[in-house]
Amino acid sequence: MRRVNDIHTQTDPGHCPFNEQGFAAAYALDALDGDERRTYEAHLARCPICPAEVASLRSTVAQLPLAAAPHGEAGPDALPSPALRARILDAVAAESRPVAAGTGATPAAPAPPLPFPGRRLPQAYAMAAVLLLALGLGLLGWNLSLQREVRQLRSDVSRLATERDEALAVSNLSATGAVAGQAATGEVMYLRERRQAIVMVNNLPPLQPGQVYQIWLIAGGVPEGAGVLNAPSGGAMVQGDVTRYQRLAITIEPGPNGSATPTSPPVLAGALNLD
Amino acid sequence: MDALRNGVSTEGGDTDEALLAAIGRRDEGAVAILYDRYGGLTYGLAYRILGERGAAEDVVQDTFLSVWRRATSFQSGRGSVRTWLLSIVHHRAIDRLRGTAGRARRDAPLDDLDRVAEVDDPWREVETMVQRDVLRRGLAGLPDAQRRTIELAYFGGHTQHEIAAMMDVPVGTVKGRMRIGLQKLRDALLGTGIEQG
Repeated sequence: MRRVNDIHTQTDPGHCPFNEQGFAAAYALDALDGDERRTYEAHLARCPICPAEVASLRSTVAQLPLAAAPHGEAGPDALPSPALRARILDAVAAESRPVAAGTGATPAAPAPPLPFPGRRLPQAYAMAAVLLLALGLGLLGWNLSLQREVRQLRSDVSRLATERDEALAVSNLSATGAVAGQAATGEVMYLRERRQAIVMVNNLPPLQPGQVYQIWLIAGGVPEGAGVLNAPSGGAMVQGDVTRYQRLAITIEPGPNGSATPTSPPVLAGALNLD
Repeated sequence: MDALRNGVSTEGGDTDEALLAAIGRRDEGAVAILYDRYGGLTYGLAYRILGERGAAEDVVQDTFLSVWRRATSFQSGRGSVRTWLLSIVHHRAIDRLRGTAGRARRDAPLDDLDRVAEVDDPWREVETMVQRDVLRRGLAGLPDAQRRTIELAYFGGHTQHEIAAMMDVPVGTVKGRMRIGLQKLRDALLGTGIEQG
């Protein structure tokens, strides 16, 4: 540490002792303190290796918040209270208006009508929309560039359609048994390139406190737990390689993690035709 | 593609950047949409750090208010809106945890962003789910000591010396655990093609 000013000049440019001792990681986590922090910042200004490593590890650190709210752990405080949204919008509205002079307790102004009516669709629709939008824009962008190559357009469009089909496979789920007749719907989307399936549901029958919706992958009649959902409309990652199973079903189970085997009839089920 | 995407007005089609631009034009409705998009995620982070609903909600409220005031300071070339929001929440929550009169170690300005690979915006929600999944698995796959070290630093706001005392190991060991643990997480994320920066 005391020879900080010359240490990097004496080493192989491919290695930096600071980096190898974990300074870049500790700095990226904002865990260096006092002299070490100042020393390392001085080093950063001259080292050919450390700045890139710090930037790269900071990108990783920037993803850590995603691990903060355990998906599928339904604690009582796991979600913000519904009142928070109104509170924030009220505060924003209050800031955006000139303060009326002399009025002591101004009643909270009602939030103005949103200029984007009807945007709060159920999450499942929203996710389906973003998926389809991504695919649609991709095709549109491709098509625009293809206009310059009219002769190839036809074959290219059919190729693109095939590529889209290769990128994404969809299986529908339908309401079953006891709840048939309700408006519960669902879809399984399989992103082939990522080998990742996402299940999206809408209008599942309501849960009792402490319950979750559990996803099951079924092969040869044997169900295996594949994740949980907490809301009657929304989406979740399917845990497992869906291409190895024939069916997907959703049951209501005790939370937060569901059951080892299903303890209730499915509320939604469907065949997986994803490969 | 950008022009096309910015012109799209279907559900979920407004990019985060377009929302921030609208907020910069004092469009209150855009705050509502941004909150619907990230309220849960930002609250989850604040709650994880502070462990208390009231304090976590205060931090989220402060964060969105500061976005309202400072939307124009966001630089889209330097990272995603999501990362920006979360970095504000993280700074504020850790400051609150330590007490604002605590040591002024965190001097990063609001816009001290790191370059993060920008994901095509329409994929936002799907990508978030994939990333969340990869990250949780990556964290769960770390040896306990590495995971705890990273969590104590990031979610607990502890310095290496504090962590060394808590875990009863030398400071050099703490740094080493941070290094190996973060590198493994980075590899896990790189394996998905999500974080290419």
